[in-house]
Amino acid sequence: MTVGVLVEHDGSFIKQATRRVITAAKSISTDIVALVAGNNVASVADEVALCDGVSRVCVADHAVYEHGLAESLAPWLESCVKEFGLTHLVAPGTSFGKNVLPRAAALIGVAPIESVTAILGDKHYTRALYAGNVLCDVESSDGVQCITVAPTAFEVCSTQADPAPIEAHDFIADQALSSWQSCTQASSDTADLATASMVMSIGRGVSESQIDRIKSLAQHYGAALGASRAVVDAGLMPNECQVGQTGQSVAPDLYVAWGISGAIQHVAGMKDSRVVVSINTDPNAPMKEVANYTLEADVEEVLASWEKSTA
Amino acid sequence: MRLCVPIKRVIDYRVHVQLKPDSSGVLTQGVKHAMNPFDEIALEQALRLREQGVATEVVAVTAGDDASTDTLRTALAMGADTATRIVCDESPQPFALASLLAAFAKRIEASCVLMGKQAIDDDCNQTGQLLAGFLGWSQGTFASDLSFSDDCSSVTVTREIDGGLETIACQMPAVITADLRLCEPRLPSLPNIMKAKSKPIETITPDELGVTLQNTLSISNYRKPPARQGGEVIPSFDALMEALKSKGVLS
Repeated sequence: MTVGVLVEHDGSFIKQATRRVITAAKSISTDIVALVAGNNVASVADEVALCDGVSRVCVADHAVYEHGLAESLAPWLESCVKEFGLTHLVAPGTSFGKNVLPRAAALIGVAPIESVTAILGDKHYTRALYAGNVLCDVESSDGVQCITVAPTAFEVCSTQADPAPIEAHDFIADQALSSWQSCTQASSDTADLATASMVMSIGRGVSESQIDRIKSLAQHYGAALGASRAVVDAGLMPNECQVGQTGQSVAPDLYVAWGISGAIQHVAGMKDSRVVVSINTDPNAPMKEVANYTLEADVEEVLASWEKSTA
Repeated sequence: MRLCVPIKRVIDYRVHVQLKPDSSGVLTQGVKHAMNPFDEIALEQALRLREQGVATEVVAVTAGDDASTDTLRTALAMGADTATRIVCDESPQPFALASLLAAFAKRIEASCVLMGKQAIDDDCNQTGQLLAGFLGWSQGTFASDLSFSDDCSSVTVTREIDGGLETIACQMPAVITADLRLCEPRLPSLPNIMKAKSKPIETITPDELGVTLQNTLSISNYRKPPARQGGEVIPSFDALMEALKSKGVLS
């Protein structure tokens, strides 16, 4: 069996989700081809060649691949499946992987499997549905297995001493169906939500003036900012902060829920956190069922004490 | 421009799902169902485009058993021009569904498919991408904003991605999948609900669409995930700090 891993990167470095996918791939086979597409991505190829378990790196370096558009990547992935005789094509279950992989599966002619949380066998997986409230096992009879991997379900892979060989791939698929225009990046004054070891998450119980203070507290700890859907819908926090069924899934060591009631759709995105703290005046908030520590207190009061303790 | 809006009947998002005793699925008998919320958003966007004169016709389509007719009635009450049910015993898996929708979109000569980015039951987030792949159309997934060019030859799509917002231009025809913040769906008015009851719902079979359904995925062992243990109510901020420090998660 040969597993192809679709490498997610920012043009210079690989995303942490990629390292988690490699860990998942290792549980399927020892023959792993890392598939890198982008523009001037030699450094990305070098970095992924040192990821433990990667046997080969295939690089398609061309302007067409610069922005990771699905219309360009899907035909390239299809060609990689043929060229390398891939039995599995694995991508991170991020907005990037979820956009690209099903389109590639359509071209290959197989049913993709979304956000697997465990690999039970080479065609047998566990995944979650109903906002994480139900698990099921999926067995596929397809010749090529196309799966995305829930990023929080697998560890980050370690590095290997000898880099895997890198080969250039010259297949160019430019269907010009879509073109990239612009991107507004998340503000970089707090840590990256997907990888931070601590997340301060903001819910409806937080007032607008308290948001900046929680942000300062997050900066003090090098923590990332998260938010519930209500707060994002209200325009108080940007969309990339949303944690939950339709936002990001996070699994930090410490998740602090400020004034978040804990709807199942939100819990779906943070229940794998190691330690959860809920700060909420409502003793009946469902977040209590998830939190290791619940402080039934006013956000303002706790925030003031916390600011004092870090001053 | 004819817009095709695929919709799915799902268990209402407020229902706490229960499992069948034999682990073969979740209980659906006697459980409140509704239109998948993301599809509702897509339909609302399609209706607004028609109201703005960008689109001329909104065609709602679903695939499922007789019960899914209800959801099509809701689509008609909201304002869809026509509604079609692709007759299936149960809701098809994404790969089969996308095959059906590809044939349907071609049959009605749709210029654009607008649909929810995922269904809140299976959380697959695949059907739109598969459909775009089958049709060879451009794809604008996880859309939070849309703007068609004057001649409708392209559409600019703002996408909600992990790192922020990305804007791409898609050549038409296109498949667009709606994210939560694309728009706020309307509530159908009572007169429109009444009118929708007497509107015809067309049916078509997979055979008539020239599609043979095959599921290559077998899904089993439905179960609840291990419950996260709720912990303690902590009396004070100082006690919380102490607890977090002893757990080693705060220095």
